[in-house]
Amino acid sequence: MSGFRTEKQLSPEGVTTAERVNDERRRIGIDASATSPTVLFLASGIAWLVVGSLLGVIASFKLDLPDWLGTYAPLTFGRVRPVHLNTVTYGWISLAGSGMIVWLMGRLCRTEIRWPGLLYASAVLWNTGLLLGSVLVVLGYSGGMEWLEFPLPAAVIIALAFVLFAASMFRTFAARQVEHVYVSLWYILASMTWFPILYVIANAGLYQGVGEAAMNWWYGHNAITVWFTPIGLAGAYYFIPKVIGRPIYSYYLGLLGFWSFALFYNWNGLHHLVGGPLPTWAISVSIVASLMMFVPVLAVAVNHHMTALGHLNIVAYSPTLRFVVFGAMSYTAVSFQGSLEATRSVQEVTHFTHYTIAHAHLGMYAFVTMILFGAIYYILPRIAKWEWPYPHLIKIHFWLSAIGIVAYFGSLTVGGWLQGLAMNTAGVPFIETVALTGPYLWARSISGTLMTVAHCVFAYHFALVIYRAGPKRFAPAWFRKAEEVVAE
Amino acid sequence: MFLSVYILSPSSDPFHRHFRISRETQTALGPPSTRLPMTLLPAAVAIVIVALLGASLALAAFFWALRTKQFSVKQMNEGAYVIFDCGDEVGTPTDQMFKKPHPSADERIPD
Amino acid sequence: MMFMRSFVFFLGVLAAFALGWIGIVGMPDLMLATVKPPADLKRYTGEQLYGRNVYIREGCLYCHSQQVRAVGFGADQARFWGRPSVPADYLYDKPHLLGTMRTGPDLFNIAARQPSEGWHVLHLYNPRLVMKGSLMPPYPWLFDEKVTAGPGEKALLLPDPPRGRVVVPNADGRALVAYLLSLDHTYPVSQVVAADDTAHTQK
Repeated sequence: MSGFRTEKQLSPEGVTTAERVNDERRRIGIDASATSPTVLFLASGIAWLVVGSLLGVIASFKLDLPDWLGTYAPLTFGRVRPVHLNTVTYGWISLAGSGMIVWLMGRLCRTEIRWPGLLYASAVLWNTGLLLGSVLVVLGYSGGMEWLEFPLPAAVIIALAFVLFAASMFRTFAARQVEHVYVSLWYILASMTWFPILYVIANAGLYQGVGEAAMNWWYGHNAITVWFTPIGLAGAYYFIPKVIGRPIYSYYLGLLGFWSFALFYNWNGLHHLVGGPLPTWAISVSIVASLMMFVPVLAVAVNHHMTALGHLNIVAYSPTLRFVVFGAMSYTAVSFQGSLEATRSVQEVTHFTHYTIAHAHLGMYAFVTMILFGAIYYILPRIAKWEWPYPHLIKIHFWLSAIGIVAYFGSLTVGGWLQGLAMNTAGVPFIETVALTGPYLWARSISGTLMTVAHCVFAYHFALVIYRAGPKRFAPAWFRKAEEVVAE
Repeated sequence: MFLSVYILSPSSDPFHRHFRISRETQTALGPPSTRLPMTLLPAAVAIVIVALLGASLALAAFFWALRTKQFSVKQMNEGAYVIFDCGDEVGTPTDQMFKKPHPSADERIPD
Repeated sequence: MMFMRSFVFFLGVLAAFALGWIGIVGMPDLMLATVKPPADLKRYTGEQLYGRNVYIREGCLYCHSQQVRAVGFGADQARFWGRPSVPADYLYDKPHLLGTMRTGPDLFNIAARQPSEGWHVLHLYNPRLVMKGSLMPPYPWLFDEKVTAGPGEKALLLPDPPRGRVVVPNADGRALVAYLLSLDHTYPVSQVVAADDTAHTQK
């Protein structure tokens, strides 16, 4: 099979020139088949990133200056905040993640993308559903549950879009030319199997009362379990070894990591309701499952770390590796934090505070989003056939994002913890728990603004590549000259 | 199983114009008394049975995989290499699109 | 062999998913079917339901919770937020509004804590009129400016009223206040569980 390496072929000498040329030709063909759908998904994802980030900034400043734009109903905090959440998750992460999946599917199956028409339809429907849902929520039609605010018409459109996307991907997978299914594909295949079922059950309106609350948070955490986290892990498992040029440290660990992930993570949902009016045993089960997550997370962390060990200097010149390593380390951090955060002792303080928000952004941004950035920096030149013209813009993007999220996480973690302690202290008037969060909320607004600027820079740079603008490069957009690194 | 009942009610709010969609079923249905009632002990028994079934399935799958040699060392190693292309040298970073840098390329890579 | 492998993979993946759903959604929901509505829990009136929709529409959920934690877990009782809430209290709630943030106080028993309609109306118009330092947004679109208050309408007592006009709550505003004033779950329930999981009998 062309491109499929055995131990005999470990060195390039084992591969004939003809095989190499053939392989490259096939790869170019595969990339070409993936180009249009991938660019469509990536571009719309980045558009929603900019929109969603702006909405987040607006929501954040409204908590600093509550009367700002206070007479305009569509921009009230209670409407902007859910639209921010829905557009960055179902918009940016889902669309950019789908773009990454399309490209990865072609590469990992070593075959052209099948049924691309379905992908175009999916992208159009998905964007339509997002637009419809966002407008409806802003006008006041909300489903009322967190993560499920889009009214039924928008949800149906998005579900349909996802099914079309999955159909094309499964069809491509069925036509694969490789004997071995790489670990990234396990996560991708599982996610595409899980998410439609999850989304349909959650939007079907089957429950009420606290039973519905259980369903709500089973869904809320499972959306992370079955869709967002697999996107991040699929990316990390591919790009870290690919860019460094060494295989994953231990495939066995990868196997253990995947199945323990699937088994434990699905039970986590009720850790969002600790202390709430639900059967104690159910909440305890979720807390235990949250702690069990140490197993898959450690497996992934060891795998990635040992793969990169001794080669981390490459982050100095590879934008992709820089973003992806940041993301992979953040995965370990957010998961460890999450496991401990699920315990009753920590929850007593942090539940209902901004601490939770900080944790959520560590996961969705520092982990998934940063990996998606890295993936896009790798994928786009290969399909657009144009290298990123301005490496300094990539640097600006990285540093604003990194500083932004670290400051965001730091400020809300500290602020939220203090808020929780104050709330649990009987003599402290409630308004004082609000007052003490003031400076931390300002810090969050500033961090969010930094991140939004980074996204605008990224979007501009992305557009430059699509339009083939800027200097034409024949070498990769590295941060430092090649000889400096090779000499190390 | 409950069906959502959409209730339309008028509003004077300019952004609502004529109607609002809501999803409460309170006037249509009462508490879920039509369901099979279950106290803690039967629930615990049921969940233990389900868990045992699940665990047996998992163990069965594990032993099947061992028996059919899914976990051969060779296969595992090959799996990790599937991401590399023919021309990739193992150990060399691959974040580059063009194999031969243009002589003037270095001038265009600012720090 | 490839088919068998794929089959095992997808079966395993679906089983893991199904198990999770059974464990934390299916089973609790079945158990909750035994819960009977407390005698003192009244169904929402039409206007209160309408107000509940306004509550959902404006996203009040994102800053306010509607669940009181157990005795000894947090300081909810010390803040006079009421007795710990139980599943029975939520039987008529769809969608549930348990909430996950307390940028503002818990509202589960707000009607018992703050029964003044005038206070709520002022607070919704601009929270900083009654609570200095509040981060809550103002909701002027729940109000109408008129030349004179109509029959049965009470004008807001504003420190700085608009010239020659009065401000009265419109249908949305009245409904939301009606809903807030229905949030009283201080009636006793037969069992209230404390943080150490021993059941206490609520007096």
